[in-house]
Order: sequence, then C-alpha cells, then structure tokens
Amino acid sequence: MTGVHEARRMPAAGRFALAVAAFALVLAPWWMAREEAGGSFPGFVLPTAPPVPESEPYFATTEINPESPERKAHSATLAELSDGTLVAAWYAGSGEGARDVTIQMATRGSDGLWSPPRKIFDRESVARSMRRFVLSLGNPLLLTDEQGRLGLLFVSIAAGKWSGSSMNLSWSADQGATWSAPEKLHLNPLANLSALPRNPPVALVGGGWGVPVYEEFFGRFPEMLWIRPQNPADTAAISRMDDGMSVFQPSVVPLSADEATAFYRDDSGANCVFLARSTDRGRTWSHRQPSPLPNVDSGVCALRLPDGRLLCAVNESSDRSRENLRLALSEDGGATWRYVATLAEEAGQTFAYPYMILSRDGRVRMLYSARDTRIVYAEFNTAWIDAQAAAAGGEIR
Amino acid sequence: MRGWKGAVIAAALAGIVSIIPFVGHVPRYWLSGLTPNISVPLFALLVISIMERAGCPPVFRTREWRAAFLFGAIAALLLYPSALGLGLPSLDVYSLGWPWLVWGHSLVLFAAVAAVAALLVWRANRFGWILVAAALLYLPGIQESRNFWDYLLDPLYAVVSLFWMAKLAADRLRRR
Repeated sequence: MTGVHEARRMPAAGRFALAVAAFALVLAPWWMAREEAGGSFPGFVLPTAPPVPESEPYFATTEINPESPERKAHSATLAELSDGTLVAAWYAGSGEGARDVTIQMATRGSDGLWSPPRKIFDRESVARSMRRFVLSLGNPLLLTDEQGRLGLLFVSIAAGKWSGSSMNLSWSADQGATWSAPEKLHLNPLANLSALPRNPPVALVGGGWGVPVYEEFFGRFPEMLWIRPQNPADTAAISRMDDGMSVFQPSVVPLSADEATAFYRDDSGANCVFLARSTDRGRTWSHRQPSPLPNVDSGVCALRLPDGRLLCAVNESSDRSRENLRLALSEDGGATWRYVATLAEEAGQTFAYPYMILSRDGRVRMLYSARDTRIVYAEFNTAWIDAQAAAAGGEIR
Repeated sequence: MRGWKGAVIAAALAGIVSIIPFVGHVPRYWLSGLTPNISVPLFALLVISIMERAGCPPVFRTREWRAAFLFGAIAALLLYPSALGLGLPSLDVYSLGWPWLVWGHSLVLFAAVAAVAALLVWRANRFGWILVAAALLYLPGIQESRNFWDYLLDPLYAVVSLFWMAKLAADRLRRR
C-alpha cells in the first residue's frame, strides 16, 4: 500500500469541481422532474359506488377451492376487473414455506361461478425466469388498473422462511391467462430481505398504487410500497409507517384524497388492533393508537363503506386461536366499534387472513382462509350490514 | 511475476468453480437468491486488492484503504439499524436513496456523499473517485436495485468495514 505511482495530477480545485459535477450530472434528471417527484404521493382514489344503494339485504358465501388437495391454502387476494370479473389468487401447498407451494388463481365471471383453481407460478418457473434459487413462494396480491391490466405481487423465499423473502411483480394483459416473467423488486438494503404484501392496495391519483406491506426480518414493521408502472425505470419505492417492534401487516383505508387510516396487526402483546392516520397522502403516518378491536397476532382487513362507515374483519380471541371471524362496524371514524356479524366460528378450526374490497356495485367482496385448506368467498351489501347491525350488541370495550 | 502467476491460477480456478453446477445449478444461481449485486466500492476494493496482490503497482495507499473502511462503517451504522426497523419511522434512512420518492430528502444523501467524495478527491484520496463512480453508475442503473444506497454499500462491505473499525478501536485501546 506504499509507493503509489504519482502520475501528473490535475489541480485539487479541478478534481473537486469534477467530482461535484459528476454528482450534479446524476441528480440532473430528478432535478428536472422534481415537480413530478413531488407527485410520488399524488393522493388516494376512493372506491366508487352506485349513488343509490341496494335496499334488499344480500349475503352469499362459497368455497372457491372445494376440491383442492393441498394441506395449506392461505393469504388470498381479490380484485375486480373493469368488466366486473372477479379474480382471486392465493398460495397453496403442503405448508407455509414448503417447496411445493404454488400461486393459484380462479376467476368469477358474469355467471357468478368460480372457475376451477389453476396454478400460475411455482418455484421452478420463478427460479428459471429470474435465474436464481427460489425455495418457496407466498403472499400474492393482485393489482388492477383502468386499462384492464392485472398485476400480481408475490414473494419468493431465498432462504429460511418469511424473513428470507423478497417481492416480485408480474403483469397480465389477458385477465390472468398469461403472465409476464416476474421482476424482482429491490426494497431492502439487507440482501433485499424481507418485504411481504398482505392487504388490498390503494389506487393513486394519476395511476399506480400504494400497497401496504410489511417486513419481518429482525423486527416486524409496516411500510407503504409505492408502485408507478407509468415510470418503468423507477417502478417501486418503499417508505416506513411505524417502528420495528410493535405492529405490522397494515390495512390502509383511504378516507379522502389526502387522508387515510391504517389498521395494524399487533406484535407488541397489547392484544388490540392499532390505528394510525395519514393526512399527507400516505407520506407520513401518526404514531399508532390502540383501538377497542381485539387482536392477538392475527391478520385484519378494513374498508370504508360508501356511506363513510368503517368495516373491519377481525378474529375475536384472547389467545392465538383464530376460531372465529367477525365483522366490526364503526360509525365514528374508528373511535368506537361493535360487532355486527360472525362470518365463521368453529372450535378447534382456523379462520384467518380476511381480505375485503368494495366492488363497483357497492357490495363488499371478501376472501378468507378457512380450516387451513379452503379459501372462502363472501359477498354482501350495506343493506345486509344494516340488518345485522340492527340486531347487534353493544360497543366493544 | 510470481504474483501474476498466482492471480492467473486463482482466476482460472474461480472461473472453473463458477461454471461447475452444484445440485444442478452454477454457484451464481445460489448466491443471487440473496445477493444479486455487490456495491460499487466493494467491487472496486476487491479489484484493487487482487491487482495489488498480483504484483501490479499499488493503487491505494494506507489512507485510501482507511477512507474506504471508514466510509463503509459509518454508512453501515447510519443505514442498517433503520433498515432493521429500529428508530423512528421519520428516520427512514433507506428511502433517501430513491430520488423520485421524496426529492428533498434524497438531496440530503446525494449532497452528503458528493461532499465526502469532493473532499476526498480535493485531498488526492483516490477512494473519492470510487464514490464518484458509484454515483455515475447509478445513473444508468447497472444494478437490480434503483436505490442509491445499494450502489454505496452492501452487507459484506459493511461487515468488513465494521470489523476493520472494531480492530482499529481495539488496537488503540491496547496501546494506551
């Protein structure tokens, strides 16, 4: 490390200017596009609903994978295409993180019947297209845009279990019949470990999505994944919502273009759902506040009904069992809640990972995992919720 | 001459190992599941180290190696605790590396690295040029990541740098 050749040197001021110029050159594209960069948080799009809600209560439920032989079917996601077709996806295999896990998909057209599930990704196909080792797959999440394009986020595990996962993004222009080769999203500096999607995305003004995601490598914590397909060079970025040891798996409910409420799964031992609020289009989030909703480390999902009331699907339990799945309603922006319906309840069984969206006809469309092996679809309208609420008990305390 | 021979043999061996399938796949297939790219400084340090060991004229003096490891250690201490979820969400250090996300915040990171690089090259420290190279390579996006942090730092570089810093601290304590 001695005796370095000293060639004819550029003057110090020249070197300094050259280095500064190099950084200025790198930053120039973003400087010129800084107004657009300010649009990284362009605001939330609220789901649209028909002006006149249905007056007759409606509720229906069905299993969408009744014949599936896999021992584990979990983490279902649902999206509505522009023609009203519903698309569902989930992962299934012999167990979480198992090598035989595949991402499966089913659709429900105008006949109201779910198609038989079909495998759209397995670890071999993902490993082959990305030219890297993949141990297992998990947590799919569907995205839809106004052009009818369908996106699929899912994780691939490179080592260990969920802490060794990273996120991939694939697209379909034919309603899920064929999918593009998945693209790896690099979202973490520690060997890209480990971001996972779970709850419904929020459409953004001008296109793109804010996707609530979480990490569980060292600590578990919630984040927002910002996807901008209109900018292929810089598609994805991630921002934190809370610290790393208390809450994760956020469910984000837009209240207006600027405001949203986040519902967090508890990881602190407080045994309740935590809430946070953003008033700057998701860029920053308030410190989490405990809610009356119970939560012992189980997935929650919430949405805003067309009349502004909040609906949240939770497991009511004082331990880690998930033997029931209930709907709770808040008429005051999340301050107080009461149970309005029980979607499933059976001792010794598991009902978990609710996923709810509001379709264009104003109905709530929902998926959840049942008995570890089945994905259940439920569909209901606000008239049914009102009828249930009329017979419901008091406030949750 | 002996150094060159050793380097050629080592390179040949590395080349052979890199194309021999292990359980059906070449080593890159297994490694890239976790580490698809290494940072620009680590790549440069490895190349310089190999060249010097092969008998090429030295590229780095002691002060350049010191600057490289000090930069790696400080960057690691700034970045990784936050990336692991420690600290306040407002200290979201990794998000500074996406200039299209929060332009003003990213300016802090780029300006800080530019200042360090400019200061180093002002003082004729060649590690400064490696930081300049990292910035220039970020522009076309040669890595899988589009976050500037991943061009500056990776876990292996961080571990080596922190180990160097710990050794330096231990040596100084011993001398007292």
